[in-house]
Amino acid sequence: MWAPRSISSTRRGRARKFTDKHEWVSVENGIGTVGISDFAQEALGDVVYCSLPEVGTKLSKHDEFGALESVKAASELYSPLSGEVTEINAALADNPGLVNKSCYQDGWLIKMTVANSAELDELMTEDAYEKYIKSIED
Amino acid sequence: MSHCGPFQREQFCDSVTRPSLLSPAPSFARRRACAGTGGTLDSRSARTAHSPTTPQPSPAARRAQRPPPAPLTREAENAPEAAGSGEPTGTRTGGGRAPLPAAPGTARSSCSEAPGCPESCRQGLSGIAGGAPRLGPACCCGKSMSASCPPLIRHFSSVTGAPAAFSVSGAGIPSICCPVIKNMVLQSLKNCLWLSCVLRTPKACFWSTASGGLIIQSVSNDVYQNLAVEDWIHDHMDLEKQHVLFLWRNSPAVVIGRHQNPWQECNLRLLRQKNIKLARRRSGGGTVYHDLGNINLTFFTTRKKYERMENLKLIVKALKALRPQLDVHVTDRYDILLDRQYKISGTAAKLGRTSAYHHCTLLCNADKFVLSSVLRSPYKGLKSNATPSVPASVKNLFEEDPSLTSEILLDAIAKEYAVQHQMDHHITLINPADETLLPGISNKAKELQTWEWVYGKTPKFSVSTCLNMAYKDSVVDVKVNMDVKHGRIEVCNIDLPEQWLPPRLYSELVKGLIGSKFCPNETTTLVTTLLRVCPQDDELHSRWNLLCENMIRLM
Repeated sequence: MWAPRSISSTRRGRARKFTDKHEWVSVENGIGTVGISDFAQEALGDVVYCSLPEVGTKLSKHDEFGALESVKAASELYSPLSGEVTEINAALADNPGLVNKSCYQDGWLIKMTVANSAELDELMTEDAYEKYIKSIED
Repeated sequence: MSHCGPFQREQFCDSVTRPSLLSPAPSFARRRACAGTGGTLDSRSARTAHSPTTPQPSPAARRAQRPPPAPLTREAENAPEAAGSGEPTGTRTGGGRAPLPAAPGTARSSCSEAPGCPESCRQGLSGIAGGAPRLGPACCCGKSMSASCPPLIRHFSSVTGAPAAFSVSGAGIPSICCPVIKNMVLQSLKNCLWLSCVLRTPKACFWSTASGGLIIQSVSNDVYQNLAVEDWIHDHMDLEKQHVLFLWRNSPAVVIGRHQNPWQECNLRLLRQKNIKLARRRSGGGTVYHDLGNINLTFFTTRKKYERMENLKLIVKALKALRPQLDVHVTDRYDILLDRQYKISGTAAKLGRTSAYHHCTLLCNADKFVLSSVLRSPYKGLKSNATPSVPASVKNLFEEDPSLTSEILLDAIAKEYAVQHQMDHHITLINPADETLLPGISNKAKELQTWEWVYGKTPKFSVSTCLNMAYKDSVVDVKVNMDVKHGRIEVCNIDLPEQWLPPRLYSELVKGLIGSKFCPNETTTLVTTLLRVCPQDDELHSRWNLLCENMIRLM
């Protein structure tokens, strides 16, 4: 039985949405925080390096914005939304394993503006995402 | 030759005296895939490989504008056996095959040669039996290759390096003297239906009509071109339908992983001196040294089917089938070890949106002397969170068994891949410079060679070291601290004894270094320029040169 290592919080205004590429985004005050899901970090294995974009980088939805290198492979990261990068998680430089240990909290990757909030509606809710991963695991 | 050298990085180097990649393989038919040719060069015998450097028989080809006679995919799947007739032989069973049509023409026939037929054409015709005409120096229409020859033919000609045997005048069937060739054209066209598809949608056709598996081998030894092929397949091929094994070898090059620091990983000075290329690949992992005695294998699959262990076990199985006495096994680090001790293969991988690739090296007959020297970094005081290599003792398979050559190993692995994927044992040669077959590939190769990619992608690092400069009768200790980001100097502190250099000159140096590439050439230019505005003072110049030489040595 798949049990999440950490539970994504659903506080008011911070409902997590998911992409089919296992990234999550949670928007608060117009800023989206992006990370990878527990499913993804498990599949990836121990992350040894996070390659993240510069602050100010403009991203379109689906753009490749960085990569995670794990013992398994170098794996590309794709932007769930369009917007501009406002912050990157500096803690990951020295501690890339945070992505595995705390993928929904301390292991967040980037923060970005939300250029088009309609794009959020295209993403999966947490329930839908859980169903999705069950289906692909089969 | 059992010594495998000192504690070495993950490097595989190969003697540059290895035979050419293009020499005939013992057991595989190698066919060249060229968008402009209808694919197969030689189908005279399905069992002999050919070297693209010798003139190749060419299937006839038509202008792209001619509409395809029948739905493409079906025909392509029904493409006949190599040396057989020109007729489709029905749906194949089993694994897919590369849809490369056979050369047409099985019957020996003679052209009703007219005096005007060029010598080459007549020569070519006599070789038709069971194959296709040899290429002659001139167009069969009697004219030499010219602008009026369709691009297809000229392209083919340029790809193979040999002139086409004939030209198609205008857009129609050639009005040439040789009806046999005319028949061949028609015949081969039936088998070349995918060709028009290639020309209409080049990236789709050759790559997507095969189902099952595809084994391709690069004719290039250029590391950037070969890495570009990987990128291309990763970006453009639909791997749901098929999986690909890509075989390649490079002339001497050091290849670092996606997130590595070349200053930490290798002796850049020595690389420059020896003209050894430096490449950064897009997969993760550590640094390796390639040369022609190292073979590279890339396994392309969907992301779901990504399975490195399976691939490596396939290689081990192939090696053991070849030489049962070989003690080779896969570790849980995805290395292949020989005699439980020596690394002969290292692995790296990339996971994309829907597709993935796993590539690995295999040490056949490397120049371990070069390997160990280029992989030893002389740079001190580097601090970075870049992914480090894990050094390993290495050995060549050739040292274990001198009868093993790169070609033999490549063939054995391809054979095992074919068996495991239930496909035909065909290796398709591809030319990474072929923009028609691989649209956009030259841009990919270019990007891989840019300074921004090779050096600029280095994760931020710092240099903290002390220059001990022998000057006159003493040693001047100069502490240097630099931060390098995107390959450029972001912060620069040079702790010189007071007044050792005029303050203004010193500050110009530091100002000039900041923002400039951490690169000896760029720094040389900078310091030369600055020196020009200095007073003509020998003492000053010698101090300046001493300092700058030492600074440049850090890069």
